[in-house]
Formats: sequence, structure tokens, C-alpha cells
Amino acid sequence: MVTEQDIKEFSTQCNMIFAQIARDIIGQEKVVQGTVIAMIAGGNVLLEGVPGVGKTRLVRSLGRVFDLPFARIQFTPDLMPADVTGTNIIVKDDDGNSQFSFQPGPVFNNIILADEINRATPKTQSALLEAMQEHTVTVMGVSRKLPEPFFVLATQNPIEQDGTYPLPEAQMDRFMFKILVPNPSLNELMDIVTLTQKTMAEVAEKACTGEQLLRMRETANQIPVAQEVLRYAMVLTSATHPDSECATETAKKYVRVGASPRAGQALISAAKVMALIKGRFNVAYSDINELAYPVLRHRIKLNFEAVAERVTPDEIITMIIGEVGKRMKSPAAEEPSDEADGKKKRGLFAKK
Amino acid sequence: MAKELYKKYYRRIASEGILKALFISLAAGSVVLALIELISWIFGFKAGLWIGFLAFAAVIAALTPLFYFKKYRPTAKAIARRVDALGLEERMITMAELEADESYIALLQREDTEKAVKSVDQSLIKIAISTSLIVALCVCAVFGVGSVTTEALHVAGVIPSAIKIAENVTAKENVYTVSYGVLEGEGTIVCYTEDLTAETPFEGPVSVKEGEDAPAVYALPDTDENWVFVRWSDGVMSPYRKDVGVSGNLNVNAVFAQLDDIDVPDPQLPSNGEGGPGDEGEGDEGDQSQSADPGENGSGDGAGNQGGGSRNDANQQIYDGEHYYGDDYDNAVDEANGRLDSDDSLDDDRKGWIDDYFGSIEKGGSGSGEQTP
Repeated sequence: MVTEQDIKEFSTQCNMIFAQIARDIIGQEKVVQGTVIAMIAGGNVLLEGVPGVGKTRLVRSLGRVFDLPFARIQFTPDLMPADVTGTNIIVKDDDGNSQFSFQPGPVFNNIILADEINRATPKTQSALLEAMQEHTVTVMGVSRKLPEPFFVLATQNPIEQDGTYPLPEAQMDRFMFKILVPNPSLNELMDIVTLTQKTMAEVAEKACTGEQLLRMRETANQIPVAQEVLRYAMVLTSATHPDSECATETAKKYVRVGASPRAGQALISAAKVMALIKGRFNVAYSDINELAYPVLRHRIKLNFEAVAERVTPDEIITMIIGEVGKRMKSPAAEEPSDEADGKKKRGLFAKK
Repeated sequence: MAKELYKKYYRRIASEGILKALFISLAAGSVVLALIELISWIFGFKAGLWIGFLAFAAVIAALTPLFYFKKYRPTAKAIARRVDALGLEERMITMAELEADESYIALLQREDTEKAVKSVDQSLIKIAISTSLIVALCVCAVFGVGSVTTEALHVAGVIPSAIKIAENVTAKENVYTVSYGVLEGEGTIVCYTEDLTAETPFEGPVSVKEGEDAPAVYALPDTDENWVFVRWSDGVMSPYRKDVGVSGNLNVNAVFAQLDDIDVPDPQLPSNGEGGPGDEGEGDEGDQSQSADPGENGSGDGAGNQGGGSRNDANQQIYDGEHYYGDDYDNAVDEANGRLDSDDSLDDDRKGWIDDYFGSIEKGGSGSGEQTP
């Protein structure tokens, strides 16, 4: 049961988290908020951006802010699964007898930074599959539980494709969000240069423990979702499939494979956290629409026509939101009526 | 508390529901009214005007509450949806679902909603009626008003019923074919005006509506070959004819006869048996034009026709057995000559035709030798 104390703590800790991260990261509010939402909701995040925009720095800051053990794995083509998960090595005991002893890999930490994850071979990438979903690692037939909370925050470069291995669909699906890290604006760039001229040191301090993070997750899970909103989120997820009963014309035209049920789960979990961060105690259509981009963009596999016409996943999501909104006659995707006093709000993750 | 929140907006949304139900009922009533008035007008049922009004009122009275209570009566969720659309971000609809929930989060959600609702004035909810409903109502109303007007005019006797109009239209559509031609002899059929001022060949059958007149025609014989008009195939003796009030298909033909064929004896001359008309009495059967054989007449050997050429001989009464041709000819020539002298409206061509005509008759008469018409 959620108590008044839980709500207050959630609000306080959120503010502290954002405040501390802002000490190290200039700008990138949407990226920071998305990453924090995913972490509170218990999801993994794939950060995609060109080199130098602060992806790795953000993840390191998060490790410090959450006061959790942090490990960085630089993915390279020669990285082996055992380098990630750990392996059994032969050790001698006090009596001089040899025996196997498990040497944990870097995955046995709370926060894993999988830097340039697409540079490792699929075999090594797949070593993370079990860890990301079940939060366990199985080596030599023995399953070991990973510490909670456990997150994989991966980065990849979208432009340099030589010597890279695209992430398999199974692994893509295990990332709750794929967040695009944009280049900083001019003012942000000036602030970044000014800050780093003084010191490159990261100054963010602990704002939340692992236990507190887990309690925040439990609190967020209690946020109610109206049946209509839940249905809308599921229809939106299902509408990305060209063959589903809810398939939209856009999906039929441009999508080869749509989002999995994990996308629906992620959408609702994240929407609850987002609603609470915004100080609301219910999930709104706007939350679903806003989160549809980071949740769905990496789960939609485009067909040849989309590639040929250079249609991006974000554009497809926009079209699907429009179609589903009209079909369900919900205000979710409609233009604000003249009754509404507020202007149409632009979401945190809305397509630029 | 939730109910109090809904009450704030209930009246406005309920008004909208009533209005929508009324519009639909009006549209349905207009359709019923229009159908009744239309059927009444078609079949000439004058009481239909008032029956239509009664049906219109009955439909509205029945459908308005039906639509309101079954479709447009605002429910808690419907009100919640409308209020949420004002920017409450699904707070109301969530609160409606959590109405029975007493958990702390539900309580917080209710408090949050109440706080948010305070910022929403009920006047922001505008009565919204879809354009399609208004258009449908307008179309039905126009249809209904038009039908009522038609039936009212029918009841007032200004316009007949549709069936009578249809009957009149159908009756006038009977069209008959009128055709004039030549049955025997040489000649043409020409169209004339009644004052004989214009002449065009009659070409083929013409269509004439029932009750109207056929064109005036004249059976014009080929006078160069000594043809004369005898009669029409339907017994009309005048070459000029105009069939009025056509009531059926008409196909009549002119009969011409060549005057050389006609044996016209001169009653003043005694019959000598040579060159006299007739051939042993066979040419004197009383038919003035059809049976005489000029060759035989000219080469008569006098063996027969002992009574030929006698004015009182019935066989010489070539008209109809009662009149002598020569008398009529003389009278006609005198009349024609008199008119030729006095009538300035006749041009030279026409005078020439008349001369030719009488000349041809005269020549025909002279062909028989001593007979002078």
C-alpha cells in the first residue's frame, strides 16, 4: 500500500536526482528524464547518439547519483561472453586441492554501462539477454541472481557502421527505451565548454539509494490507469503490427514487424512513473503518446518501402498515433477542441 | 463528492443530449411527414395532410425521450470524458473508475481531480452538435416542407393529384401516323396552305399527336400526261383535304385517271357508228374512268354502240349516271375563264396550269372525235 510518506519521498527524491544530474550534464533534459523514468520503472535503456554528446558521462553520473555499484564494459569485436558474465576458474584451496571457483564478470553490478554495444559480436551481445530480462546469469549450468536494482544502460553510435553488429531483435526488445541523444544547443554548448574548462570532474552526489529506488518503483506501480487509457495504450502497441486486428494503414504500408507485448508493459510502467513525476495520480493519453516514441521506435522493424522512402520510425509512430486516435475517437490524437483552454502540449520525447 | 462534481456539468451536457435527441426526432418526423404527404398527394387522399401532421407530432413525442434515455442521457463516464477534454488529462475518467476504491492513492487521485476541476468552468463546455446531424435535419426538413406544400396545394385544388397528372401526361403522349400517297395513276401529293399560297411535296408519313390536325394536302395530277384526280381511297372526292382531330393512324391514297381513257360522247351529234365512242357497248358500262379503252374507242367499227353519243343515254352519263360531263365541263370552263380574268392574285404560272388543265380535258374530249365537252 502506498502511503503519504511514499508519495512525498518519491517527489523529493525525483527532484534531488534531477538536481544532482544537472550538475554534471548540461541540457539534455529529455534524455535525463527518459533515463530516470526507465530506471525507476525498472527498464534498460539504449542511448543512441553521435560521439561526444555526453552519453557515457550521463550513465556514470547516474551510477553516482543512485549510489549503486557501477561497471563499464567497452564492447569490442573480440569481447567474449565470459568477459561479461564471468567464468569458472580453477583455484587451489587450503589443502592444495584444485576446484572450480566462479569469478563474476562486470555484469554483477547494479548499473552496467555497455558502451558501444553494437561493436561486439552477436554472441557476446547475447550474453546480456538473460541478465537484462531475468536478472540472472547462468554459467556452467549454475544460475546466479544479479543484485537489485539492475540496469543495463547501453550506448551506440548511429553513423559509424563499419565493424559493428546490429543488435538482434531479441536484445532490442529488452531495452525499455531507446533514447536519441541530440546534439546540444548553442547555449548548452557554451555552458558545457565553460564548465569543462574549469574541471572535467564529475561532481554529482548521491541522491538515492538502491532501496529507495525500489520503493519509488513500487509507489509508481500503484498509480491507477483508467481502462480507456489502458486500452488506448494496448491498441497503440498492437497497431504497429501490420497483421494484427488493430493494424493501421501506416503499419501495413511501412512496418515489417511491430512491437512485442513487452512494449505494452513498458508503455504502462513508464507512463505511471511519468504521471507521478508530473505530480499527477493517474495516467493520461498524453503520457502514452509521449512515451510511445522511446518505447516503440526500436521495436518497429521497417519494411523495404519505408527504407526506400526514407520514412523514420518516429514518423511512423506519429502517423500511427494519429490513426489510432481517430479510430478510437479519443482526444488522444485529436487537435485540441475549442473547448480546451490549454494549448497542445509538446511531449518530452515528441518528435522534433 | 464525485457526484457533486458531475452535477456541476450535468445540466449542460443533459441539455445537449436533449437537443440531439430532438434533432434526430425532428429529422425522423420530417421523413414520416414527407412520406405521408407524398403518398396522399400521389393518390389524391386529401385527409393525408392532417394525418401527416399528427404522425409528425407522434414521432417526435415518441423518439425524443427514447433517444435521450437510450443514447444521449449523460452518464458519469460521459461527463468525465467531456470534462477531461478540457485539459484535465483523464483525471475525471480515472476518478470515475476509482469511485469505490478507498486506497490512499485513490484518495490522492480524487483530491487531485477536485483541485484540477476547480479551474474548469462549466461554461467552457459548449453544446456541440455534429455538422452531419444538422445537415441531415435540414435535408429532412426541406423534404418535409416541400411535401406538405405540395399536398396543401392539392387539397386547395391548385394542383391535381400525381395520378391525374400522370394520366394527362400519358394521354397526350398518343401519337399517330398520317400518310398520303398515290394509289393509281400519275400525280403527286403536295402540302398546301389553305389559301393555296405555298406548296411543298408531301414526303413520307408524318406523326400527329392525338386530337391535332394533319397537314393540308392536295392531290396534284400529272396534267402533262392528261391525268386527273378522281378521288381519295377513303372516298373523299375533293383533291384538297385536311384531316382534323386525328384519332388514329391514317393512310389514304389518291386515285388519278388519265382522260384519254374516258369516252366522252357528244350528245348533240348523232351516232354514226364510225369513230363514235364505245365498242359495241362494252365501254359504256357507266364507269367514267376506269373501264374505257381509248384504243378501242378510236377504232370502233360502228358495229356496236348504237345508242352512243346520246345526251339522254344513260351510258353517256359519265359522271355518275345522272350528269352529263359536257355540261359540267362548260360550266367549269366558264367559271375558270371568269376567274382568270378577274382574279389578280393568280400569277401567270397558275393561270397556265389552269389553262393546261382545261386544255387537257378538252383534248381528251376531242380524242373521241366529234365529242365536244
